[in-house]
Amino acid sequence: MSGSRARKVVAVSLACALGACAWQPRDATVYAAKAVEASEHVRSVTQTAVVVVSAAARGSIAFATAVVMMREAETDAGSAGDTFARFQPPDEASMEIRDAVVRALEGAASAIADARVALLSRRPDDLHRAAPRLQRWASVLALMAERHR
Amino acid sequence: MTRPFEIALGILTAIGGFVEIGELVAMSLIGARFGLNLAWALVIAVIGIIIFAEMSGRVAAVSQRPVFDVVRERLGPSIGLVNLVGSFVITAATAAAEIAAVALAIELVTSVAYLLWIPLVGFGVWLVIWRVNFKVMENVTALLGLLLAVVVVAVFRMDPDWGVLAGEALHPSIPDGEGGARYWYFAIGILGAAFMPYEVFFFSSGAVEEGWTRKDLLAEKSNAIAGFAVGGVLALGFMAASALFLQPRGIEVEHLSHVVLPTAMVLGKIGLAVLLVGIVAATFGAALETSLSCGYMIAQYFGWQWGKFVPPMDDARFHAVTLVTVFGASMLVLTGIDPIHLTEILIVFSAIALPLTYFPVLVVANDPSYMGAKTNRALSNALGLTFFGVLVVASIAAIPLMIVTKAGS
Repeated sequence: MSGSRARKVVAVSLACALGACAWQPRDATVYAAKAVEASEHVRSVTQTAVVVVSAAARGSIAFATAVVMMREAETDAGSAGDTFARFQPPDEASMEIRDAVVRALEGAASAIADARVALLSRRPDDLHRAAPRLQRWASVLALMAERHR
Repeated sequence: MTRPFEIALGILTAIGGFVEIGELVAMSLIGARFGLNLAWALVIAVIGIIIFAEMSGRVAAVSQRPVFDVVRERLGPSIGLVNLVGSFVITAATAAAEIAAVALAIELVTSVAYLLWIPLVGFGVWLVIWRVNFKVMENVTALLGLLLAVVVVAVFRMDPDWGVLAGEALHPSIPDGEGGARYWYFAIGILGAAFMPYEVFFFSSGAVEEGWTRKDLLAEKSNAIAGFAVGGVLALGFMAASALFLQPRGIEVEHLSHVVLPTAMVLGKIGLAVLLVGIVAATFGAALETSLSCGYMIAQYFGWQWGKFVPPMDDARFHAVTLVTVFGASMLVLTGIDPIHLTEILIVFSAIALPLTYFPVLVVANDPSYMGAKTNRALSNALGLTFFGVLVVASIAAIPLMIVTKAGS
């Protein structure tokens, strides 16, 4: 292999390797902004779940539609949590933010998953209980977003 | 069919045909984030589309030549080709978004994943294009699309404080947490949603398909003015429903299900059913229009025989392009691309491409050798030029604003 060709191969490999790496926030402000973004996004998803679960408990929404909405909410909450967890906190203070936000994101995702199970098993009592629990997590996430803004 | 009935039917189809996936997503998303603070942009967009739809319909009725035919002649083959490529890519991607929207609406009824419906919807679109008469195809989808008006009923049922809503619409401001760049980015998005390039291609080619002549100019003008104005009210209904229901709860619009959520919660199962039928009809109709528009623009650029009024044996290349568009659009959706994000991006790229589409319309509508006594009057020209200026500014600002706002996120 000639020198120039070898250099091209190395350059392309390096570019591919760098392209495969996730972008990482370099300072605490950017990291906090990511935390706010994730919290607000999952709060929106959780609020959707609150509305859907409340309507399902009253029997005022079509079952199939409620199932689709809860499936989307569960997927969105899970992927938002995974995306945020992949960011490397740049300092100690950011580590604390990470712990608190990831806990809240996981709590909300878990509450949504439980609510979806309750919906699928058509248990109105569980649905009635699920709505306030989801609302609490939505409030926690709102607080998180406000605190790190 | 009597003349008044024909005009009324034309207006109703224009109303039902105005709202498609671009409006559904853009209006709901903007209502949830900005309330009615961007309602002014919708009013401007509706006025603009009325001006240009009337102009392009008049050009087609008088000259018997659709817009892309004129684009190639006026801009020359090279710039015409750039326009063709840009418009074709945007329109084909819009066809993909419309096909996905039909499948997403069916998913909300059946809870069966929308990707499984894509091949069936794509086949249905092709079958209708192949077998169904142009007028029947247009009238049935557009009239069923009128069911979208249920969202306006939902807004009234929410019993809003009309003074607050009017105050927001008439004295707009940028909501907390949304910067000026995002505000203007979404204003351009509204223009892009109302002014998808295919609309003018379809409107003018449709005029030729239906055999419009100078005698039909009154009906053509009524369709453009009344149809798009009332269609704009439907679009405003989606914005208001989101502003009243989603914004106070902090819910962002990320799925088609968020678009239907306010109506479903306020009007219950019946309201949801009516809205979903309306969405399926409107987006299915738009999938037909976008797929046909791809065939129209390619055939008109290359000077092929085109149109549903011609037996398929005589315009095989036109039907082949349409079939390939439907197939390609369905395959694009099957890659798993998020149809709602695709729509969000498309409406901005549509805004970028607009001047290239609307400039030739303005030029030809001013050319007495084509238009004779129906050449633009001073008022049409003043409005057309003003609006063209708005389109150029929006087109130039779209990319920088997209970068600065990270596509509005």
